[in-house]
Amino acid sequence: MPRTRTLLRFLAAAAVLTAGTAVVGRAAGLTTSSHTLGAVSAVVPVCAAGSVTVGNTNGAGQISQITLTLTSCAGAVDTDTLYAVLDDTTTTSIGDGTCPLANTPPSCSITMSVTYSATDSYSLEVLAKPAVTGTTSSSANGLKLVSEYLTLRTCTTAATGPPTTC
Amino acid sequence: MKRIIGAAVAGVLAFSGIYALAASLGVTSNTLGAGTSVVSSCTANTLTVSYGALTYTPSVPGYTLTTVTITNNTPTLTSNWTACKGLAYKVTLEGATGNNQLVEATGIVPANITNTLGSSFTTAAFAAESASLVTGVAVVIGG
Repeated sequence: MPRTRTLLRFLAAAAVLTAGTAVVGRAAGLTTSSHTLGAVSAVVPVCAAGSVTVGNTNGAGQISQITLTLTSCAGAVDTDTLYAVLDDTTTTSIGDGTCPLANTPPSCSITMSVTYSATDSYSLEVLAKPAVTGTTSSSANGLKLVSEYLTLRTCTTAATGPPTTC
Repeated sequence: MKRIIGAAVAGVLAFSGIYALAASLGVTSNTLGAGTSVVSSCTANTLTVSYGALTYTPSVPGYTLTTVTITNNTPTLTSNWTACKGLAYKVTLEGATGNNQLVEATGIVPANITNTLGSSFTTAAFAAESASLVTGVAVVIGG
């Protein structure tokens, strides 16, 4: 009996060893490679709240011109084009236009026609795409990305008339 | 003597039975392999995202953009921007609400980029997207 047990143990051990060798052999033959892949995202920078001063010229219930001054907004400078949309959301009256910035701090005026009311709600978008960038982002796979300014400011008022700052 | 012969016969029969049982047991396995490899970008350059012309779109309403430009912002001597030639790219503009995807441009990095500072390509045009909604941008190259 002891010999039989010994024989069985030997056979079992041999079987396990053979199977293990096969698995190791299979694993050893596996090679892996990877295509290059870079993925990264960056924040599109905007200016801080209150960094745009907004003036308007109005009469007879109409705003005929808005003047935008970038008091502390580093994203746009002299000669950059400014885009703006002023929307009276109470009466659905909207105006838009572009103007080139000039002077220091950079400022410009846009002619438009929008309903004026000191008690209406308004939204204002001030956009620019100057050659000024934000903070660089890096990914684990090595790609680095930085974005230029795009939206300088977007702001709204609620039943207080056109914005004076944005 | 009879005992020895009997024991031997019993042993042979038992072993044969076990062997037969083992032989009839079919065990198979799917192939399995595991390995690791490093995933790296085609370039370690710093890329700059700038935006195409803004156009007023009354249906939005607002100023919209339809393209994005990717520019190499690494000096020529250390640039390997050309290693990305011919690779697929995705550029996604993201909005503020939960980093939602606003619009995506896909294509192939063109063959005419160079390792010079300022070498760039403009993405394929995507649907006009309100510029005021864009708060982030994501770029994937390769894969």
